[in-house]
Amino acid sequence: MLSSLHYFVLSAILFAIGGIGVLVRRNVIVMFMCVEMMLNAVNLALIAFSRYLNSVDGQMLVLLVMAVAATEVVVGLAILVALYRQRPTTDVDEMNLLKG
Amino acid sequence: MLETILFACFGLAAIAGAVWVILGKNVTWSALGLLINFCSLGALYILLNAPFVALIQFIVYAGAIVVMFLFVIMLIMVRRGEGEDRKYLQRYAGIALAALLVAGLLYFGLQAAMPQGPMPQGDNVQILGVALFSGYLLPLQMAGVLLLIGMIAVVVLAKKKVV
Repeated sequence: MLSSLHYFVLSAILFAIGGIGVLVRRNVIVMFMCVEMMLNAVNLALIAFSRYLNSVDGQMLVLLVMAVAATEVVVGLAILVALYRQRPTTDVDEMNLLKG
Repeated sequence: MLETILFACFGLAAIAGAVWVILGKNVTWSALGLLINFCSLGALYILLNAPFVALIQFIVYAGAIVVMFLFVIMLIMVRRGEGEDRKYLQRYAGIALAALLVAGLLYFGLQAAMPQGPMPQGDNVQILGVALFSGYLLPLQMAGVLLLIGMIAVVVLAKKKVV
C-alpha cells in the first residue's frame, strides 16, 4: 500500500538529483533548471503530507512556492540576459567580476 | 494496486527527466527533460488528490517556465563556451555532498512518524478556494505584490541603458 513514505523518498531523491546538478554543472541555465527541480521536489513532499494529513495547508504552501518560483525564474533569466550582453558566456566560472 | 503502478511509472519518469536534465550536453535537451519532470510531478499531484495544484503545475511550470527557459536558450544561443562539466575533483565532491544530503534527509526523515490517513473527501477546488480567500488572504495578497515587483524588476532589467 502506498504511503507518504514513498512520496517522501521520491522527493528526497529528486532533491538530491537537483543538488548534484547545481554542484556539478557549470552551465548557468542548467544550474537554474536544477534549482527549479529542487523546488518541485519540495512541492511534492508538501502535497503528499497535505493529502495524508487530510489538511489543505500543504497545497496552499505549494501555491505560494509556485508564485515565488515563477517570479524567481523571471528575474533570474532577465539577469542572465543582461549578464550575457556584458560577457557572452553561460559558464559560471567566467562570471567573476566581483572576485577581488 | 493501480495507484502503486501509476506512482512507480510517474516517479520513475520524474527521476529519468531529472537525470536527463543534469546529463544533457545540449541545453535544449535539458529543457525537454525538465518538461518531463514537471509533467510527471503534475500527474503525481493528481494521484495525491490535488487536481487544482496539478493544473497550476501544468500551466505555470510545464507551460510558462519551460517556455521561458527555451526563450532564453534561443535568445542567447550558445556557440562557444558551452559550459563544460567541472573538473573531476569538483564533480565527485559535488556528488558526494549530494549523497550526504540525501542520506541526512532520509535518516532524519525516517525517524519522524509518517502520517497515514484516508483519502480526503470533498471537492478539492472548493475547499482550496474557500481557504485561499479566508485564512490565506494575506499570503495571497503578498504573492500578488511579489509578482508585480517581479514584473517591474524585469522591465527595468531588460532596458538596455541600465545594463
